[in-house]
Amino acid sequence: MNKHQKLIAQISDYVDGLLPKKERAELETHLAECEACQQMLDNLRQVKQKLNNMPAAELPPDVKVGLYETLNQKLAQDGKGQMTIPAELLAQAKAKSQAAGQAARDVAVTGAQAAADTVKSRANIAKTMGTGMAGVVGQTAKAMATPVKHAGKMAKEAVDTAVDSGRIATQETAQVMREATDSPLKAAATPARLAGKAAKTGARMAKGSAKIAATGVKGGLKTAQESAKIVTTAAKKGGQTAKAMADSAAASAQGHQAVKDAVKKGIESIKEAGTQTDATEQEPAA
Amino acid sequence: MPTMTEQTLIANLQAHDPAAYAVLIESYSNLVYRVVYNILQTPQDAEDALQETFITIYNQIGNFRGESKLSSWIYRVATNTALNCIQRKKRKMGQDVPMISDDDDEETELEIGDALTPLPETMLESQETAVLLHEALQELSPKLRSALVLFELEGLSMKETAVALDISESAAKLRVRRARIELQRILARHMQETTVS
Repeated sequence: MNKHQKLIAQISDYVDGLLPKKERAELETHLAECEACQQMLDNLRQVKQKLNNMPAAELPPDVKVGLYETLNQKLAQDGKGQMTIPAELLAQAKAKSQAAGQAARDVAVTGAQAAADTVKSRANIAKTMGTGMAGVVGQTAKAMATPVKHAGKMAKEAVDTAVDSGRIATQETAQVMREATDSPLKAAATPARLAGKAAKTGARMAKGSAKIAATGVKGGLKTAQESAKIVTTAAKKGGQTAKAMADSAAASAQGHQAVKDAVKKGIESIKEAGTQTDATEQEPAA
Repeated sequence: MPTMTEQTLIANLQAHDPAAYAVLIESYSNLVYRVVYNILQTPQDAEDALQETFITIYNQIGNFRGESKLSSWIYRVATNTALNCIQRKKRKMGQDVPMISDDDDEETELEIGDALTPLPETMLESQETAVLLHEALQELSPKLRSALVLFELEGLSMKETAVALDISESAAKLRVRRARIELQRILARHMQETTVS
């Protein structure tokens, strides 16, 4: 055994209180000087302490009842008498079994309720989202109709302007030409008069174009208003959906907690049902 | 040597007297369950090993000569039953395992470095540490775990531990020592992993 192994052995025995007095004193002197060995001592002490504090496994009453039954079978095979299973142990096993059954039922009911709540909240999300989408789609369609309507109006105004300008220009040109034929004086002024009429026609067309442009602007404004409405509606519906989702998440969390609580409660009630078993086990049956 | 009361109990058990077996169950079922549970680490295996231990006691009590205390013999039967249960389980899973009685750990040298990884002071106080400790115990080899269970959890003396393990006292001492250092090393590794994640 080398020096280190000897130290490990000594420290381990020291932790267990098994080191002889002389070696103990020597080790304590060494520990005061050696940080590594002091660290090892601390570690071993901690592990020992934790192991000593570990909760003991408890024999479930139903398992103990099973043990009685197994040994009774062996005794019966050898033609011996039977052990009487203590009534209290049977009662505890039954109570524990009932507690376990009740706990399982509670957990199942709570779980089913949580699942139903979750389904309900999911449906609420779907409904909210559906309503929101329908509203947004409707408004979008309406908004889309607005520019179409205004475009139609603009086209009609353009046609009217062109037709009116053409008709008036034709009539006026014809009038100027007739007058030129009838009157030599007017004939001399015909080019100037035709130019004047053309200028008037141009002015009428410009007026018509301004009207078309105004219609276009009006349509654009209307479309912008409708778009703004869509955005507002979408935001509102989105908010409602987010709220429904948050509600659903909260419902799920509540359900999860309820199931967890039910499991915890069940375990406690099962433990409580077996508590008295431990007390009776201190007193061996006569 | 066993006391008179124990002698009477042993004699009655050897005669397969039902009342003696009722006393046996009431006196030792908790102890056996604790031992096999701590070695096997699962309730189902522990229940099976409990039944098997008492059947072995029933079948073998006729061979018990009273050379050790009844409790020491029961500890030995329970420990062997649990270890055999692990062997059977491993064989069933197709694992090629050496016999647990093939001791070679006594010859393996311990390195001081194994025991020097510091454990955080607060570590052993938290609830999670109980879980970590349980996991670390599972990682120990069955024979090291058995030594710790008997010596640390059951509070047997080193001599009683040696009797229960059917090995010499010095071998039991070494096994307990190795088990503690190995457990501390596993705990330190688990703590490091927990901190990193």
